[in-house]
Amino acid sequence: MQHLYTRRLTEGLALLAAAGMLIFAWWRNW
Amino acid sequence: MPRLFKYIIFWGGIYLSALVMPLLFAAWAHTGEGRGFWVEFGVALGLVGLAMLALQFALTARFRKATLPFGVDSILQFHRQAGIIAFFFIFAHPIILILADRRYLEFFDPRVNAPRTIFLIVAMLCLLILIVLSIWREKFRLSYEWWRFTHGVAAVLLVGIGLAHALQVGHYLEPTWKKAIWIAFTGVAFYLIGFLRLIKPLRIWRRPWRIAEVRNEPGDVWTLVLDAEGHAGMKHDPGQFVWITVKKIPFALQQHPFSIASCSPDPRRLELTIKELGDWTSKLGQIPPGSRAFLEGPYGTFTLDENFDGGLVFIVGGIGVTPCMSMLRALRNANSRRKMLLIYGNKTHDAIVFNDELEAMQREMDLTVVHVVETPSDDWHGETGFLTGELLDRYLPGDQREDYHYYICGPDPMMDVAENALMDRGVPLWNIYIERFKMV
Repeated sequence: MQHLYTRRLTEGLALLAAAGMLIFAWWRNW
Repeated sequence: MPRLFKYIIFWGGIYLSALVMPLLFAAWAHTGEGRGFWVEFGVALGLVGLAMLALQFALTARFRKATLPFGVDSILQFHRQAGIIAFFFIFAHPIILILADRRYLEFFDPRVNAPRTIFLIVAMLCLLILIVLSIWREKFRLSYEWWRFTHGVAAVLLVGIGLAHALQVGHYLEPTWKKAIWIAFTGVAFYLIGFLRLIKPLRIWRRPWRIAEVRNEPGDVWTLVLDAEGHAGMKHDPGQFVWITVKKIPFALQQHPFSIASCSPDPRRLELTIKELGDWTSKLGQIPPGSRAFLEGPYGTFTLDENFDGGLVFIVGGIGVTPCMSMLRALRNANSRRKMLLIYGNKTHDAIVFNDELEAMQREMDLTVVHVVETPSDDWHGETGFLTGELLDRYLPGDQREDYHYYICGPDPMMDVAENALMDRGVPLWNIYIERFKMV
């Protein structure tokens, strides 16, 4: 698997995790 | 191809679930009111960051099942990238909390709780050490061995303090069962590093190897010939690599990954061809024959595809030739009739390792070897300079490029050029095999 694709995959997963955190913060104050 | 995507979705899904699980746990059966968007976001950063750090241990544990479809080098690249992201998550955690509510400054006030302040600062320092030394190890002139040692110690300290901090704050870790799950989760991470550094060496202790010969090759390159001592040896696929420890016992800071160059039908004899690069490899020539060594492995997916019998293109630079040499030797032993091309870059003509054997292979098989020499002597008539897309155009098969498998191994800049050039020329990603060893 390509180096570049590994990086994109990591970044993609991190973005999804960050989205999870935003939803969590929003939802806790809902 | 499609299988690789399935693996990525499967393991990516497991990874992502493990990352956001702490948030689900936190919210589950939690009755307290929210403390404002930014406070909750800051807390989420800490929880997810800690989970990410704990998962880092799993990524380096070299599980065969999980590493098999991707290759250890890709997993370690992922570990590296994830570490950088975790660094930002964890660093943002106190910053966002303090910006959202000044009262969080208390955590860094020694008058309120001195041990807590000290531990949190130690944790932040560990985080800095982990990142700075991994990205700029060579600038700090830190040897690979000592980097590996400090990396392990700082990682354990950081996750240990992180867990203690989460338990002490306790806001989202009530009731006790939530605490127990966090402790268990971190416990598994610590078990994994113990497994890698203690249990795996214990297992290979009973399988020692003897260095039968240390052979000098052209251009500061050495071949270690290893014989199994009282055991069945190691079966491997051509192109795979092992971690070697040259010591009387398998517990050592020094453990290095090297490709197996040989392809002997007898699994009790292996050859590793190694170039003098770092501090350890520069002492290779001084290893007395008869020394004891331990091998862990084999690892790696930089191997021939059993279900494919089309043409092969090897694009290698310098010592990156070793795994491909193992494949070529296997193909020669099998009297292969496959069409093969080897594009082999070296600094000088004198530094070409396996030159004579490759000459012979060209007569024995349908193999074309193209040497590319960076600084040629006056009597050199072949290709010169660095590998480029135009150079590849002169030698790559003109059509049906997708009917070939491509193996790239060498210095990073060369691999980048080769990878991009092949993709630009319409070679599908899944026909390209890549081995990257330079991690830190």
